[in-house]
Amino acid sequence: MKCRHWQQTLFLHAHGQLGGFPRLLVDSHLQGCDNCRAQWARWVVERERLQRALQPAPGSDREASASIQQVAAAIRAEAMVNPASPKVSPRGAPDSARGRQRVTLILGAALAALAFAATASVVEPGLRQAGILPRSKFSGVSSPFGIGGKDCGDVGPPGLTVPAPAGMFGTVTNIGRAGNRKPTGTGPAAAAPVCDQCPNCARKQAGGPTAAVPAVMECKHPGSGTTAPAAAPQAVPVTTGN
Amino acid sequence: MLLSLFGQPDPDSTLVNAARGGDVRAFDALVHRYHGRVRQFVRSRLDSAIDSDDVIQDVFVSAWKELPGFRGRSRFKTWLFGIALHRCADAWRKHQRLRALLGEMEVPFDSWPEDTWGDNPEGWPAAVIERTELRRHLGRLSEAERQVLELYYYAELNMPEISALLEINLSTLKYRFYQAHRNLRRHLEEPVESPVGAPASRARK
Ligand SMILES: [Zn+2]
Repeated sequence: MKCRHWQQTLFLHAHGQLGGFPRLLVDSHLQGCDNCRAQWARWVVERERLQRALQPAPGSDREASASIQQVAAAIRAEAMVNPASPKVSPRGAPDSARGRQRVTLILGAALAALAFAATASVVEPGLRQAGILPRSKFSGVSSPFGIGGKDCGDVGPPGLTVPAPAGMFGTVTNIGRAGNRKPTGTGPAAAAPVCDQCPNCARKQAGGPTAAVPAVMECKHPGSGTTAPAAAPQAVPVTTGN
Repeated sequence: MLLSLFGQPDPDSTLVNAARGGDVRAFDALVHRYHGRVRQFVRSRLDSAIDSDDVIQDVFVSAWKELPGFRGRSRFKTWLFGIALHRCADAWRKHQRLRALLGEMEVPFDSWPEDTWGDNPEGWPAAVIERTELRRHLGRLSEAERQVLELYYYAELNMPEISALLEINLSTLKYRFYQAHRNLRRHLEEPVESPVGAPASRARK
């Protein structure tokens, strides 16, 4: 490439308008070419001259201040005539600000839900044991939103199914209707105790298709006595609302 | 802090948000911050026969009124100079219509004199002479070239911002920016036709 082909690139480089590979190319050429270096330096000098000369003129404070006062008066007059002029409309907030507000709200709601879930999981069994809350077929880590099902395998309305093998929260395994849910827990839940009275447990015993019965559930049928220890970390479907 | 389309934090975001809430004093601070540059920009684009202070006032009042529509996709400054660009064009068209009504023929563009220093360049400091000289030569460029230089030097906008404001491709803009500087250099190297202080011949469309 001949030096004359570098002219526009040298100009853009002198104005800081080059980046990445083109800039590196110019830099390396400038190191070995006196002619182009002189051209580049001339553009830099001219740029600085223009920047200096085209600054707002000094010594015009008095005139500028009169003009500023005129503007300020006009703004106040406008605000008086139309006080609603610059108000923050719900859709008027700058996009980034609205986006941040939305993210903050979502995070806040999620944190509140998590805190509630954690509290419920800790407090609820105690309350049930103490007889303050009616005994439920769910104990230990149960639906933090108090959504219970009708039978052992029914874990609530359609929603997110979250197994929690190492505590309360795990990965979302399935999103959809309750009938389509396929809990993926592979731990002790797979060998969960069953009773011989409830239809779901009966299906399981017969080898038919059932939902896995988490060990932390206790069967509601009297006499079954199949309550798993609540402390053991189990794969528990936790259903959250959408 | 707001981030503009180009990922730059907007240093005006706090004042802009307060002004959007109806805080006139916050808007006053923005007026103070940009008045000098807007004034310089407006004066560079308009004939001295047009009352630049009226146009400047129009720019800021429009900005105040249109602030609820400002989405923060650009910096406030870029948005403000977009308004200034339009108000200058409006004022120029109005001025031309008035001239046509009065039956005046095309007359040379009469640039604004330097503040404080008056019309007589004798005794002006060297910096003022240089500034006047540069402004005069700037006036000899085409409208498209001059517009880019004014937005770059007076408004201190960067290339992507100017490209978005003028709705032209960034590569095209960079080439125009280069051509404007080449032509300005050529004008500056030409022998002086008229003394500093004399108006450059220019007509705006
Ligand atoms: Zn070279």
